Amino acid sequence: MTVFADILGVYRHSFQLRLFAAITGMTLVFITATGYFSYLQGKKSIEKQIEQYAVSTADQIAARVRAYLSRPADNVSLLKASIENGFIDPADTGSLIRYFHLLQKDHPEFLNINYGDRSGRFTMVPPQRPEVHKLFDPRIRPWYVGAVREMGLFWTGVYVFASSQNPGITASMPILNKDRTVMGVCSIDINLSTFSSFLKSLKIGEKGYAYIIDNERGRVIAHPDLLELHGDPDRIRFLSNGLAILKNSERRFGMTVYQGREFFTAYADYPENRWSVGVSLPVSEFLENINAIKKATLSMVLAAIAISCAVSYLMALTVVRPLRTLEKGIQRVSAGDLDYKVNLQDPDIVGSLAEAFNQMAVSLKRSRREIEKTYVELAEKEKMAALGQLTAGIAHEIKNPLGIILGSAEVVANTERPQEMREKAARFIVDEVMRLNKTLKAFLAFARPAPPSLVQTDLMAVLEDTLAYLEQAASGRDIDIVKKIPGKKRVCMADPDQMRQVFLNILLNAVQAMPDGGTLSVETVVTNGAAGSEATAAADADGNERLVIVISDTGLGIEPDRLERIFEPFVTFKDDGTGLGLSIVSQILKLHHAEMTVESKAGAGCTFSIHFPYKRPEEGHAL
Amino acid sequence: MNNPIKRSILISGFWLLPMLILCAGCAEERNRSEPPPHPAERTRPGNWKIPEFGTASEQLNYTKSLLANPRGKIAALRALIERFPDNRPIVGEARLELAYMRLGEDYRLADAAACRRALADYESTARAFSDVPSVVTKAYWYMGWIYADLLDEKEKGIAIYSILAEKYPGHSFSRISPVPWLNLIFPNPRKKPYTPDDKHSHSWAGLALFEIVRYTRDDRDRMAAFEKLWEDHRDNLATGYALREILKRSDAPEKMAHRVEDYVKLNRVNPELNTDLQFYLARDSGTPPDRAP
Repeated sequence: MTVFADILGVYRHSFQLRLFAAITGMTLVFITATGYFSYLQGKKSIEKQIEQYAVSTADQIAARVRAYLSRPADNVSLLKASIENGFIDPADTGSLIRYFHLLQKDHPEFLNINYGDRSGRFTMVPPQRPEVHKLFDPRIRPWYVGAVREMGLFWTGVYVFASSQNPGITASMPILNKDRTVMGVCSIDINLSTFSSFLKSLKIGEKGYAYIIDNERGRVIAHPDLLELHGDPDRIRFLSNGLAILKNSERRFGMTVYQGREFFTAYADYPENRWSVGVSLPVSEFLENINAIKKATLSMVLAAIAISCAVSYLMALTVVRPLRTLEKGIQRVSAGDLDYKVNLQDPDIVGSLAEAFNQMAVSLKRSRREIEKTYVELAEKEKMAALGQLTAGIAHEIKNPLGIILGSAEVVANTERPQEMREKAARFIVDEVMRLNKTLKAFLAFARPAPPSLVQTDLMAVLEDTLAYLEQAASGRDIDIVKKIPGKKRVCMADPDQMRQVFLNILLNAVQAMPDGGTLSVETVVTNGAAGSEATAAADADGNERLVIVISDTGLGIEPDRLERIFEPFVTFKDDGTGLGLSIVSQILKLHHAEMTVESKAGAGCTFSIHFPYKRPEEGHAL
Repeated sequence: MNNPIKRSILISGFWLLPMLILCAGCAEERNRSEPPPHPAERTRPGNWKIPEFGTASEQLNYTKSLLANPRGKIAALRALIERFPDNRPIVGEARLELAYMRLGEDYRLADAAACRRALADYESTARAFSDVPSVVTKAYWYMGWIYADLLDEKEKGIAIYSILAEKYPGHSFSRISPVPWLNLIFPNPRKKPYTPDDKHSHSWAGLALFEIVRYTRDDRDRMAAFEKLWEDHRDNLATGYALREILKRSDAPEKMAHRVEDYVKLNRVNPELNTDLQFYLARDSGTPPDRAP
């Protein structure tokens, strides 16, 4: 089953194989069906030929039998006429014998020539044995009785000759006196063995044979194996019944079966004697011809199948090869090689397809160039817009302190003002200058962030240090800090100072978001889950895991419309914020190839998740 | 198509399936029948090829099958005598056949010299096989027949018939000639063909007495022969014909009426003989015969 499933799998995944199978299957069915019908047609044709051969053979044999039997009939008529007209005196036994001898010399096929008269006197050539002749009475013989009854030419059925005990038939005619009374009967015997020998001498195919059946009695009149038939009533029944069945079905040709052997059988009527001439041809004799057709058909079919398989394979290859070339082209173009050209020399659709593909690659290249140009322009525009926004922010941040400083300086410069007021104004100037200094430092940190110096850093240790500092800063506030940090080290390539700044910024924001106290949760997990971006997914595919640091508070939360802008510079929702903290965090994480997601609802706190690339230490290096 | 082995299996499958389907119907049936065994043949003088059968009886039957071939028959008979010299009944029978062949193809056309040669052969055979009654009786009858019928020496013939009837009264013969091939191939007696008048018995002595009845000029001898025939061979067909002969010659056939009645009652007489008997019996009774045989 597995092998079959494998093969099925290969079949399903191989277009060439499916194409080959489809073409081969189609041609196979067509060729096999054509071969089979050709075979049937050939077989039918041979059977038709056999039928024509058998029927015409039966007709010819009937004609020859008629000719064969016409001789005794004609001669017995001649004998009758000779005696009745006085040319031969039947009382002159010597003359009669000599005449009979002459007749038999001319017709060796006449077994016996007989004359019997009303007194029982009998003359026969060749002579009977004397002891037989002494006691022989011709008047009880079938030929005598039949001729007297019919008063004309009479053919006996098959009976046994007294002289030789051979089965035979006799043609007889009554010899009449002038008063039309019977003087005697002359007859000529035909030995059925001789008659059968005559049939045996006929070549009917290789193993075919002819026979004659008495329709009324179902007796075999003549057969090449006549003597053997005497002890085989089944075979006699087969011969007579076979013809009877054909006669009843009004067909002259058909198939008969005897002891499991099949015979083609045909017959011709021989109405003068109510006989049928049958011809039987063993089917096995013609099996060679039929098998020759079968073999030829089979050979042709196999050759055609072989050729069709080869052609199908080549056709499948012809179809699949350009597709593979195109596939290769697509892969190259997908990989960015837009200069790759598919080279398929075909005047038809395949060539057009390759040309269209190459044109598509050219178009793609042009489009990419335009996109790049547009992208550069867009980036420039964005940069300018950001610069404008930044400039506006800086101007905003500087304008107010400068206003205060200007006002305070006017108070200080005005000597008419009380000293106390001028000193206060001077302190304002100092405070605002300090604030300006702080803002500019933060701006500088944002605008030109220091490149991280990446070293093996245990982020858990950095986080623990930051939390320890935070616990001091948050003392006096009603804030519970919940830590779910494993005791194990989580070492990553990171700048420990910058990461401390990241954690501190997020944690301080969380503390500030809970003026009335709350719970600050810090949790770290190592996971395979993607953070959602393609880059992360790629990192996952490479087998790297992610260290996720989740910092949650139960503070005021952030409105959804504000949540989108919290990483923009100079955007703050606090009274004393610079609006650069989370922007700097975002930039630092970007430089560490880390990501950060924020989830928040107004009044329901806020959760920051930092996804840090992480690779587990190899076994034996438990860190 | 990545795996070449699996691809080969699949392609082979496409080949093999139709081949198997098409080859399924290719079985060829042949019926061969064994030819019947033939006896060995030996070439005899005259270049005659004579088959050699297992028994002398079969060999004799074979010789009798050669009805239309006298020379072949003579060669076969000589071969038989040579092969089975110690089987005296069969050898005697063969010698009788050879004697018969002396008469030529048609004994009715045989000249006196041929008859004399045949007589000599029959006589020597009778002498040589005096201890084999079947041979002697047949030889005597044929000698009587040649004298009486062929040489027209009725007295000599009657004399020999008388000796035969006297010395060998009990040896029968069959009117049915042996049909060698039928007998050889189908010895089943139930298949034995018969002629309508073959239900009677036949004996050489009976036939000899009938010939005496026919040929003797002495009425007393004729009646004596008939009485002996009637006493010893009443069931013989020859007795029926002898009765007809007596009736034909009798001045008072009605005296034989009880004989006719007894004979017809005893034997299933063929209708024509019965008609003849009834005709001759009624000849002088005033009943007109419906026909003259």
